[in-house]
Amino acid sequence: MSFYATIQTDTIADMRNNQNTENIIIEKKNITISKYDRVNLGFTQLYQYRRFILIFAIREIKLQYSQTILGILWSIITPLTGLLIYSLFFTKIILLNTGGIPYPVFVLAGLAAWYYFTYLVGSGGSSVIQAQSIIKKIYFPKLVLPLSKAVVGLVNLVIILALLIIYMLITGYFPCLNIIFLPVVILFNMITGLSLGIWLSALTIRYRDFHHIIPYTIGFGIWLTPVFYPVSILPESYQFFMFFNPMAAVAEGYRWALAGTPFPSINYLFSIIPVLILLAGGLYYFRKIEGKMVDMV
Amino acid sequence: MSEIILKVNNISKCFHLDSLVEQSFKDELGAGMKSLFVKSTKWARGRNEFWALKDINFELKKGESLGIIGRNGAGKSTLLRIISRITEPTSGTVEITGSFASVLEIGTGLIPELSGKDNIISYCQLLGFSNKKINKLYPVIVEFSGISDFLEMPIKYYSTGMIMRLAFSVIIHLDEDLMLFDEIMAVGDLSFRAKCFERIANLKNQNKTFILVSHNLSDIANYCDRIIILESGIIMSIGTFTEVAGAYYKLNMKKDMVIKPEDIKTLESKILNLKKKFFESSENLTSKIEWTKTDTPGNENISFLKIALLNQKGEQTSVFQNDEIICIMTKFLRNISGTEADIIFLVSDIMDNRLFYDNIAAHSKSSEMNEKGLYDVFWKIPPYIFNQGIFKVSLFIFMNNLPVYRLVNVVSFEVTKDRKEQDEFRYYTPLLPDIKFMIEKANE
Repeated sequence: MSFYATIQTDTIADMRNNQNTENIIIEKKNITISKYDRVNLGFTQLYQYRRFILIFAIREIKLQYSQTILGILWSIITPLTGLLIYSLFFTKIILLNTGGIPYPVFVLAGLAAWYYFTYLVGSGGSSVIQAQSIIKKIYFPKLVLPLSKAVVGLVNLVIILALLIIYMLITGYFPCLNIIFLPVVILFNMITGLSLGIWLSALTIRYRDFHHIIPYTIGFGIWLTPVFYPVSILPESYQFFMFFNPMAAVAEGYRWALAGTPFPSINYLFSIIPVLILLAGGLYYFRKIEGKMVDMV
Repeated sequence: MSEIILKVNNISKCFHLDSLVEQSFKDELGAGMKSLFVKSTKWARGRNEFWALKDINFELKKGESLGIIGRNGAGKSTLLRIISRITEPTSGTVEITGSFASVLEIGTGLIPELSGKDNIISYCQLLGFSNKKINKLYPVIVEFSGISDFLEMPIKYYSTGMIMRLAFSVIIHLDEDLMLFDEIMAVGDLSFRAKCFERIANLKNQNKTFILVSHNLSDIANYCDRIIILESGIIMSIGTFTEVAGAYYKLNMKKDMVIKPEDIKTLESKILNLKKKFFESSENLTSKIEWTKTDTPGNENISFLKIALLNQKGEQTSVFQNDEIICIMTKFLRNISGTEADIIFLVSDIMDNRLFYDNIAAHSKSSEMNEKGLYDVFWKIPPYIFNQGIFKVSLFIFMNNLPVYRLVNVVSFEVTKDRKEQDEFRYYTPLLPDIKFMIEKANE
């Protein structure tokens, strides 16, 4: 018998029928609770509780800008100042061969990728610990927590990208047609971040050590990723190592989608396949300890 | 024709204490590495086990309300957490038919920085209200909470009472088929409580089922049809309040009797013996208390020597039939003559509600006990006053209408009734006076 095994959703249909009656039935379901079974990855529950992803994301976003005078404007001001600094500072002082695209565009595309990745690893990784007071009192599939972080990060990412595109339009460097593939790149960025974020969110519960590992890794990871520099400045023999870094593929992907640089090398498959394996393993591990999370935090 | 809405089958929950001790990755890595090379049983499972719950079984019918009481650490919260799917049981299953909500804490997930309005909506969502329902209920909830003037303010500026009322107003509008509440009833002022009481009665009229956990016996008595006493992870007793409240009281009196987890694991019969000890004896009730001249309680004016409970034959006892006279006797010493002093007798029920009192001076000339010397006072409570249950007696010395010395709950007694008289009425009232009905056919 699987954990929360039979969830008969005669429900959603029921719910619609009952909407006009006095008592609205939210979810009519038969639940059986027993010890959890490892085969079931729990996507049924996740689907049932999908609105929790948004609920948590909205809470987070509201919280970020509550009691600030400028409110949501801050999410524009922060990347905007970054944009200004990079465009003024780097174009005058550091000159790198970026394959013909303006350096601010080059850096910001990389930074956007890196921002979203670190948000998913950092906030996603501590999401379960952060919500410990809630998960001790209210039931929902815990995977909701890292996923809601993905939504929050996505909102900020979209703002950064929108600013970048506006900047490109202003400076006369028009985005190319590849931009229609931008969502695919964002999705891959999300998957890369989540593959680590889900692992970490589960591991930090048991071993707080990972709490310290995260900022450390993120701190020097940016220098192993072509954010500030193009891969081409590396000596030919070292470029190979980049293919093991999935974030290199993501950064290159953003540049390809926005600025029309050459499509990332097929060699990045060296990193992409491990990411997918990592994601599947993370989901499995997360699910495995989900039932015990509350006892452990 | 009541269908079963909740079925708890053989639920057990075991904690491995060793694994809960703060351990870092390093320790565990070390231990894990060690186990690769050294054959050690210590690394294996099942070292220091603690059974928080053992073989819990019960059923709940639609429309019923169940109270769970137990001392701290008896396993109440663990049981609720398992039913709410928050932790998984070590073994056993829980079956729930129909929609379900649980509130284990008032105001889980409220955010201090957000406004009252945002918090109400967010709390509704967390408790599982649909968006449509939130839209419909929002004005009702605001109205109920009585904080409509402060909705735009971040709740960190609210008083504790306001936050509680906000959260409780949301909770009280849950209308799932089965609802679980853990220690949440003691909220708000009198009028707010009255509103909640009304709402709960309403829910019961709509045939909703709920489970209530509380330390507060009067909440349980007011809201619940059936009660479970949980002790050391096993169900000690299950029944109506009238049936089990006395047992609970005795359980609390006897503090040193703790059932150890080993007993639960090994001997079922031992548990039965313990249950017998707990519930079928009245040894925990004090029917008599005597003091020597050197350590008498009291003040410089009056000191007590003896307090005892007597039946109509003058025998000392702590168990009375409801058709018996209950006589409370006290022997005291007046140390000074001339001053006016008075003794008040007070009877309270198991929940420490004061039922009635009387003072000596109201019935006698004060001069009667003004002189120095020993006195015996008998206070006779007529039959057919009490319902079955446990009652406590307190004595106070009054001087100039002020209590100057208090002996709280010095003696306690149990009132029993004939089994055949047992009625089906499930609400407990401490008093059950003999009052007659008169029925007449009315004219058209």
